[in-house]
Amino acid sequence: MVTATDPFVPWLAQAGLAADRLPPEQAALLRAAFRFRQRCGDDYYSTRLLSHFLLHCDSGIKVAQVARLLGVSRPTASRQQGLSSKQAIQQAHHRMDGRPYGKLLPRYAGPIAHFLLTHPDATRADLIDFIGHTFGVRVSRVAVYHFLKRFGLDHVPAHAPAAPAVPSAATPGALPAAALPAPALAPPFCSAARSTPAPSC
Amino acid sequence: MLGRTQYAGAFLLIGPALGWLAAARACLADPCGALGRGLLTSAFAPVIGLERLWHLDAMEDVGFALLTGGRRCSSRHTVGGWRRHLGWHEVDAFCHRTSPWHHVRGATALVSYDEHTIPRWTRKFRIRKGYVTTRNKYMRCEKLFCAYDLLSGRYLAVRATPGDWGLSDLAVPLVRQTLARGRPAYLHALFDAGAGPSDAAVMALWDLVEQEHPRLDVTLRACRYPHRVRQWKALPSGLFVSYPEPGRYVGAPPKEIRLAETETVLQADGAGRAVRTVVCREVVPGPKKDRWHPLFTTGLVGPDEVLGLFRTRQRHEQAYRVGVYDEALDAVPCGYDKQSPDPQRPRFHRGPLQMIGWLVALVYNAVADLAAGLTGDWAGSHVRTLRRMVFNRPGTVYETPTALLVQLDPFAGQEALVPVVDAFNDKRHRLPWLENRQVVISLTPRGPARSGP
Repeated sequence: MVTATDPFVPWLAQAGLAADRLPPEQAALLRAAFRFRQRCGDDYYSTRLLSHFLLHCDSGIKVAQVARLLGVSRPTASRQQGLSSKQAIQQAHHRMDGRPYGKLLPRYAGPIAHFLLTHPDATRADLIDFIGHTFGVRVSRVAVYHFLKRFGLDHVPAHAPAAPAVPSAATPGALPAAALPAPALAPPFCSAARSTPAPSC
Repeated sequence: MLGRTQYAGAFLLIGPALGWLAAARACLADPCGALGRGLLTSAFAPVIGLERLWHLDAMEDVGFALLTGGRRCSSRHTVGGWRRHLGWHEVDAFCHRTSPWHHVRGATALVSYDEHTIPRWTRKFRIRKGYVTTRNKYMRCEKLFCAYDLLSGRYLAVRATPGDWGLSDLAVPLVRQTLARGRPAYLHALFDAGAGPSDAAVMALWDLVEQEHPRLDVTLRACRYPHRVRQWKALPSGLFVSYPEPGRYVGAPPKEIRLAETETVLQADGAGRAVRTVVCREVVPGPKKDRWHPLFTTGLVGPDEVLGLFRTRQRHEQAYRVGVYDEALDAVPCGYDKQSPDPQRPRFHRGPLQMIGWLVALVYNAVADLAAGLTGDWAGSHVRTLRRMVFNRPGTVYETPTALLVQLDPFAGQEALVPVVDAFNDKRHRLPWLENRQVVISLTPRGPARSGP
């Protein structure tokens, strides 16, 4: 039974289908498809599997309606018609091959900052390679851009001073802050102008 | 790059510290502008193991400076001056605002109340004396009275007093405070013998139980006055039920305790009153005498369960031990006023003593929260263990226009920190004293594991 608050109804409505006018077979089929979509998500593989099934199960649902239900374009859905299951899976693999799949976590910021400081001439591709080798994730250039911008790492000076190597555990104490000259206190990433009217301490 | 630090892991506690700072700004006056540096330095000193305030003179760590509210480490004179001028009413407000009452709110709570005595060796000021159990002598001292939630293992409240105060003076007020502010569904309060040196003190607690019935029960160890011990020893042997207990080591013969339930008549205001008493006789093999542990209780559970509940009070004593040895609890500023005109009768300033004592307790709670979030068997670890494994870790500090990046050097077992670091970064803590930069903590990935031999 379809109720007004059932999310199944809007899903059908955005595809131009009325729930109360569907034949029982189509209603049952689409109900199962909706549950599949809710459970498996709307990633590319799930969408491709579902579209392949809906397009080839002779349910009587039009190609344009399947495209609207799954959020793909009409020509795309049309091109997927007539393919065998093997071809559909091969196409999906081919399409996703080489795609970035990783996520840049905030805790990666430190090693990335260290890499940028020690490799001032590194390109974005070098940085992506570094991330891939270090953290085992492959990320897109756009994701790297947003990450660097978020943590202020996008303003790397042309000749940033190289970070010192990690000292041994026997090194007592840290860099004496009080002994640092004024320019040394200003970090290489800082903008030229101070953002506060007075020093913070 | 801003510099290297030996305390990169301590940045994990910047979240609770910022909360304490916000509460302090709402409660404490700050005429000299030293509140931020004073509070943060006092809070992070026990975290990293800075035992005495004058150790700040040798501290030049940029990480510690950033943790404590600036780019350079603050002077001990600034922090000491801020501590000395804390008013007791402001400190009380801060303590009330930061007390973790949510641990007991609406729950069944088991809370221990006990005192911690801080010995003083001043010869100039004639401050009040009290009995220091660890030194087994009557000497000048000051005291901290704490409420400790035994189920969660967290401090709930603290109160500083001169050395001649006893637990009996504060037992009823502390329980009332827990009931009023914590609002537990049911509270079982545990006291050591100091809460009942006289029959009147015990009766005051029993009166409170009657007033708060049925959401309050009290168990306290009875004082072993000779005439009472004679009564308990005269109980018929048929009353005692024997319980075996594990021996002192694996494979040792089991110990034996005998429990009996009786009533002890206490005299108060000329009228007698029978109090339920659980008498525990610890049988000692050999020529030594048996040990007697009498407990007064209002609880309705069986004698063995009363004893089991009371034994959990050891966690409170352990928390004091951790405070003294890991957080330099005995180094809290003195409560007597060194500017008093008459050294023979110095004034008592509760503020500094209570404030720093409470900060030590807050650090204890925050460290316990952090330990609970680590991957692996870290829950219940002592402050010193976490300092060695987490807080005092070298690292590099980077400063960008929008963020402060703290990168810990690689170390064995750093994977346990991953969930805590991710949760920390998700909260996006920002440092007001660093142009509101976001603090981001990073771990240095370790290289691929070496192949075996």
